[in-house]
Amino acid sequence: MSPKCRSRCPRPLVFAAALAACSLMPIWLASGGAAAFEVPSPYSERDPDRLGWYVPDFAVAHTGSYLGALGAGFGYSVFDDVINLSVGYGFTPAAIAALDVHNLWMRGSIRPIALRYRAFRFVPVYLGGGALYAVGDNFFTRLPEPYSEDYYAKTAWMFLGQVGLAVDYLPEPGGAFERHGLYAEVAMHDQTMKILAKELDALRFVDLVASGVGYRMAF
Amino acid sequence: MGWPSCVGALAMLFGLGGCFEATPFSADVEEEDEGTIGKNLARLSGAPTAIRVVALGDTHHSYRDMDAAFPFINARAPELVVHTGDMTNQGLLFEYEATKRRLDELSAPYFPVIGNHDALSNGKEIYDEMFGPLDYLFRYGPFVFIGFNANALEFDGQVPNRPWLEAALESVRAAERVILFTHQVPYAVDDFDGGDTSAYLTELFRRHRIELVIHGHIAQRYLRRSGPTLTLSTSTFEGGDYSVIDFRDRGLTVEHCTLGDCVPAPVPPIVIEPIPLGGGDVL
Repeated sequence: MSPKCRSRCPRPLVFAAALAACSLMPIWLASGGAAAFEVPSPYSERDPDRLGWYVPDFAVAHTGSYLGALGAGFGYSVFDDVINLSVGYGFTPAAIAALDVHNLWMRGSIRPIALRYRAFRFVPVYLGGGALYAVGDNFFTRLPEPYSEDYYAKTAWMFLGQVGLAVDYLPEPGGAFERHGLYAEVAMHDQTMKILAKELDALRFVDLVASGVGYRMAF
Repeated sequence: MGWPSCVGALAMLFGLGGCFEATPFSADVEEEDEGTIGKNLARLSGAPTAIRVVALGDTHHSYRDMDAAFPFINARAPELVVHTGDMTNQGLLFEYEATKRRLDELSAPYFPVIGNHDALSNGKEIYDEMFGPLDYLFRYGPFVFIGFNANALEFDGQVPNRPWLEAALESVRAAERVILFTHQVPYAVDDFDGGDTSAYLTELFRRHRIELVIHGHIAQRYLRRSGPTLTLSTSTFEGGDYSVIDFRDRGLTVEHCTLGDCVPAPVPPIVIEPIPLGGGDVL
C-alpha cells in the first residue's frame, strides 16, 4: 500500500469483517441443515411500522460502493421491508480521493427473500438502484452559455446499480430498535455500464465494480 | 449448487474481485501512473534529424479500436506519439486509467495534451497528476514540440497561457523546427462570447515560424496549409484513425491511416491563403 491512503484498497479489513459476518452465518446454518430456516411471509412481520409513516424506518451508516468513504442516510421500508427507499450523504476526504468529494445519494432496493433463524434474519440477495449527486464546482447539472444543453453529459449525476446481501439481528420486541443489520454490496455506475454494453472486455473487473459495506439500524 | 458453493461465489464477487472504491470521482492516481510526460521525455534519446511521429486523438471510449490499432502503430516504429486530447468522456479516473493502460502498450513514448472532456469532473487534477503539466515544451534533435492547453471554456478563459506560449515560441532558435499540438482547433477555439482566443492564436502563429500544428476536437481529418504552417487535424479515433508524419531533413510527409491501411495525404504547397476554420462536428 502506498504511503497515502488510497481509495481503492482491495479487501480492506472492514470489508472482510462484514463479509465474514454476512457469509459465515449461512455456512453455519447450512451445516445444521436447511430445515433450520423459516421463510416468513414477505408481507407479514418483517417490518412492523410502530412509529408511524412520518418517522423513517431505518438509518444507515455506509462506506464504499461509490457512495462515499463516510456516509449516513435514512429511509423507509415499504411492503414490509421488501422494498427499501433511502437518501443520504457521503463524504470522501482528500486523504483518500486526492480531493474532497461530497455527494448526496438516493437509492431503492428490493429484498424479496428473507430467511429467519432465531434472532437473525438473512437477506441472501438484494438488488438496488439509485442516483448520486456530486456537489462542488467541478460538477454541473446545467451547462453555462455558450454550450448547448446536450454538449456534455451532466457530470453531477451518476446512476448506480447494486447487488448485495445482508444479515440482521432482531432484538427482543419492545426495545428502541427493531433490527441491527450489516450488509455488503457491489455497485456499478452508469458510465461503466455504458462501456460494458458496447465493449464487454474493455475494462478490468476492478474498474467495473466497487464494493461497500454498511450498518442499518431499523426502528 | 449448495450453500458453501453459493457463499464461495459471493466471496469471490465481493472480496476477491471487488474493489473498495469510495467515490467514482476519485483523483487518486496510482503512483506508478504519475508523471507520465516526464517519464516519457526521459525515454527520448539522441538528436535525430529525421523522425517519425504518430498523431492521434479523441480516443474517448474507443478502447477496442485502440487495442486493434496500436499494434499497427508499433509496427510503424515511430520515435514518438502525440495524443491531442480527449482521452475520456467525463474526466473520470477509470477512463484515464483505461486509456493510459493502452497507451502504455505503445512502443514509442507518447505525449498528450488535455482535451475539453478530460477537464470535466475532477479530470484536471487527474490529468495533472497522471501526465504532468498542461503546457510543456521539449526538444528532440532540431525539433521543438510545444503542447499547450487551449480549452478556454473549461478553464474559465484563463487558457491558453499566453505569456508562457509566447515565451516558448520566443525561445525557438533559428535552425529549429516547431511543432505545436493542442486539442482545440486553434483557428476556431470554443470560446466565451467575445473571446479572442482564435484571433490571438492565429496572429501568434503568423508571427512565428511554425512548421506544423496538430489538433483534435473535430470529427474531420485533414492536412491544410496556411503560409508556411501546416495544420493536421487528427479527428476522432473511432475506427482506429491516426496519422503518420515523417519529418525528413527538409519537409515532411503525412499518411492518414485506419488500423493498418495507410494512404498518403497530399501536402499542400505553400500558398498565401486565409487560414481555414476547423469544420466538422465538434467532439
